Amino acid sequence: MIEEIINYILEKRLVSTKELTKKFNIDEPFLDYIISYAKNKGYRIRKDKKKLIKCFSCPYKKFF
Amino acid sequence: MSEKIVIVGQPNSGKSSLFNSLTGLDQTVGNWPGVTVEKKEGFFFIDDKKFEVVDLPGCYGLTPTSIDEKISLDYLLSSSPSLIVNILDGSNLERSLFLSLQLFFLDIPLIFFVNKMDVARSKKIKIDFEKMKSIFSCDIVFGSVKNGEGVDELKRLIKNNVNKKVCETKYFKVSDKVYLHIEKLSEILIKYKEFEKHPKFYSLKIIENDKNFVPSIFKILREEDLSKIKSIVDEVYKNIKKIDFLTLDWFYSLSRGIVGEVTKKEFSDKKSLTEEVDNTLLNRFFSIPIFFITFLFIFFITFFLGDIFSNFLTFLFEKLSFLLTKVIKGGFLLSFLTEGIVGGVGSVITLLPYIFFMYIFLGFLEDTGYMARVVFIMDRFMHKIGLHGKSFISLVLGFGCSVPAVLSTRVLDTPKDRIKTILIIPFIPCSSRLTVLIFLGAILFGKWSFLVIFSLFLLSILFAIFSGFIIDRFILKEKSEGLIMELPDYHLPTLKNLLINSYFKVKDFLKRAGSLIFIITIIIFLLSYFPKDVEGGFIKIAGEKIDFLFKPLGFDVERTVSLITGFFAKESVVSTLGVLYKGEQLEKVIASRWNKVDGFVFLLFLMIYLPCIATAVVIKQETGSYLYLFGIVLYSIVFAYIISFLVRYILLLII
Repeated sequence: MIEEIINYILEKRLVSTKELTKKFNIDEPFLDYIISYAKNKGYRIRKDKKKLIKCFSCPYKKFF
Repeated sequence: MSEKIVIVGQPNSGKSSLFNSLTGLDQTVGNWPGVTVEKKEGFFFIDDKKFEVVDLPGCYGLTPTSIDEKISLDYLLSSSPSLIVNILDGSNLERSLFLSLQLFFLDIPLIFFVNKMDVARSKKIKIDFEKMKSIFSCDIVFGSVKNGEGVDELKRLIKNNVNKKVCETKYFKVSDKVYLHIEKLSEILIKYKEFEKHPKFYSLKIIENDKNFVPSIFKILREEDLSKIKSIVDEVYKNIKKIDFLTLDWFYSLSRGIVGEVTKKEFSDKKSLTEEVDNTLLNRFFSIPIFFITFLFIFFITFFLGDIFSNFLTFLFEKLSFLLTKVIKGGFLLSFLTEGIVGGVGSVITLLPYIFFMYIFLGFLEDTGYMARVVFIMDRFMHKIGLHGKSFISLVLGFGCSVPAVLSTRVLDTPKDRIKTILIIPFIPCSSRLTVLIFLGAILFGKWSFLVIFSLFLLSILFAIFSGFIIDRFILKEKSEGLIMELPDYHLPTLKNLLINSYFKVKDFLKRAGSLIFIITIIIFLLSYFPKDVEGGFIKIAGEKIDFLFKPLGFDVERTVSLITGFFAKESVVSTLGVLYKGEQLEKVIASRWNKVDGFVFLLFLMIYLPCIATAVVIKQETGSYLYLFGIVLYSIVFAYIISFLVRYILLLII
C-alpha cells in the first residue's frame, strides 16, 4: 500500500494531502512519516505550504 | 537491583502521561505530538522491587526520520531494557501496530498498553480483546491513562514480564517469505558479538537496505557470511520491482490485517463533537478573532484574580516589615531584613498569584486541545516568515518557558528550520517575563492593565514575526514545508490535573525565588548598602556610569540596574527594584515615580531584550554555535533599544 502511495505521487507529480489521506485511508501524521521515509530512500518528494505533495526529478520525470 | 523498563510509542499516544502515572513525576505532558524530545527517567516500586522507567520520544517506526526518533532507536539498541511497554492508541490502532510489529524484532520482552480506550469507545470502535490477545503472545492491557484505567493491571504485568521470554506474533510465521528470510539472516548475524543482542533487527535493516546500518554491518561481516547474506537478500528481492518500501509495506499490510480482524467500527453520518467545534474554532473568518478574544479573556481573568491575592500578600509583607522595625533597632540587620529580604524576595513572592492563575488558564487551553488548534490557525502566518507550521508548537511552548521551547525544536525536520525557530523563541514573552509585566502593569495602569499587557503580548508576536522575516530573508534563506499535524480530540480537563500542573509551576517558581533570585537579591542589597558613606552604594555608582545609555529611554538608575539582573532571572527585575527603592513600598514608589509613558517603554524593553541565562545556554547547546548566541543577544538588545526609543518619542508626541 505504501508503495502504491509513492507510485501515485510519482505518477501524478502533484497531489494534495487531502486526496491522499482520503484515497488511501491514512492520517496525515502517518503520511508525513511515509514522505520522510521516501526522502531517506532518495525520493525527491516534498510537501509545500499549501499541503501539496510534489515530486521533483522523479524517475518518471527523467524518463520523459 | 532495579529493572529497566522503557516506554515506547508513537507521538501523542500518551507516553508521558503513562510515565507520570507510573512514577508520580511531573514531566511535561501536552495534548499535541512531540512534547517529549529527549528521554526522561524515573522509577517506581512494586512490592519493594524497584523499577526504573525511561520515557522515550515518540517514533512512528524503527527507521528514524527525525532527531527524536533517532534518540529513541539509539537508546533501545544501546541499553538493554528488561521490558518494553509499548503504548498504543486504541482510537488509531492501525497506525500504532505499525510500530508495535517492528518492536518484535528487537528481541526484548514486550507488553502492550492499549491507551485511549475511552476515545475509542466514544468513536464507536470496538476491539475484540480476546482475539487481539490470541494474535500476540505477549500480555496486553486495555485502558486509559487519563482516567487511571488499566494502570494497576499494567504494573502487575510489568512485574511478571520483566526478563521473560521474547514474545512473537503468529502473523509473522504465517504471512510471507520476508520473515523466513529474516530468520535465516539472524542465524548468521547472531554469531557476531556486535549483533547478538538484536540479530532480527539488524537482519530487518539489511532487507530494508537502510543506509544508516547496512554499510557498517557489512564492514564487520566475514567474507563467507557476507556472500551468504547477499544471496539471501537477492532471493528476497527476486521478482520484486521496487525494494525501497518492501518492509514498510509488509508492516503496514500486517497491521491493517490485524486491525481488520480485531476491530469493528460503527459508522454514523453524524459529525463528532470535535468536528462540530472545529467547524467554528477553525473557521476561516472566526478563528483569528476567537484566538484573540480567548487570550484577552485569559489576561483579564488572570489580572482580576491575581490582583486580589497579590494585594493580600503585599499587605502581609508590609505588616512583616512594620513588625521587624518594631523588634530590631536600626542598623545593617534591619536594612538587610526589610530592604533585602522583605523588599526584594517579598516583591517576587507577590507575583505568585499571577503565576498560579495564568498556569491554570493556559493549562486549561492546552488540555482541552485548543493550543494544538492555535498552531494550526497560525500556520499560514508562520509560512509568511518562512517557518514550518510545526515551529509554532515550540513558539507556543515559549509562552511557558523558553528553555523547553528551544529543546522542542528537535522535532523539526531540517536544521535551518530549527535554527530559525530557536532564534525567534527569545522574542516570545515567557511566563516569567509575562508575570513581571503583569505585576508592573497592574501597578502602572490599574484596571486597564490587562489591555496594556494584551497589546504588549500582541506586539511581542509581531516582533517575533518581524524578526523571523529578517532571519528568513537575510540570514537563513530556505523555504519550509507544509504543516502536517494531528489535531487531538477535544476533552474536558480535570480540575485535579490543572491544579497539579499549576502547583508544580508555583513550586518551581518558589524554588527559583529561594535560590537564584534570593542570591541575586542579596548581592544587589550588599552592593547597594556598601560603602555606607555613598547613598545607593556600589550599585548606584556603577549604575550611574551606564545610566547615560538608557537616559534616552527615560529609565532611572534603578531600572537600568534591574535590567542587568534580569538577565539571570526575569523575576529578579522586581526583586532588584524592591531592594533599590530602599525603605519604600515598591507599588507606591512605582506609582508615584514612574510616569505612564516611561513605564510602558520599560515594559516594552523588558519584553524584547535578552533571553535569560538558562535560555542562552540552551541556544548555544542546540545550535552548537557562539555566533548564533551572541548574534541573538546583540540583536535583541539593539532591537529592544531602537523600538523602545521610537515608541517613547511617538508616545511623547501624541500624549
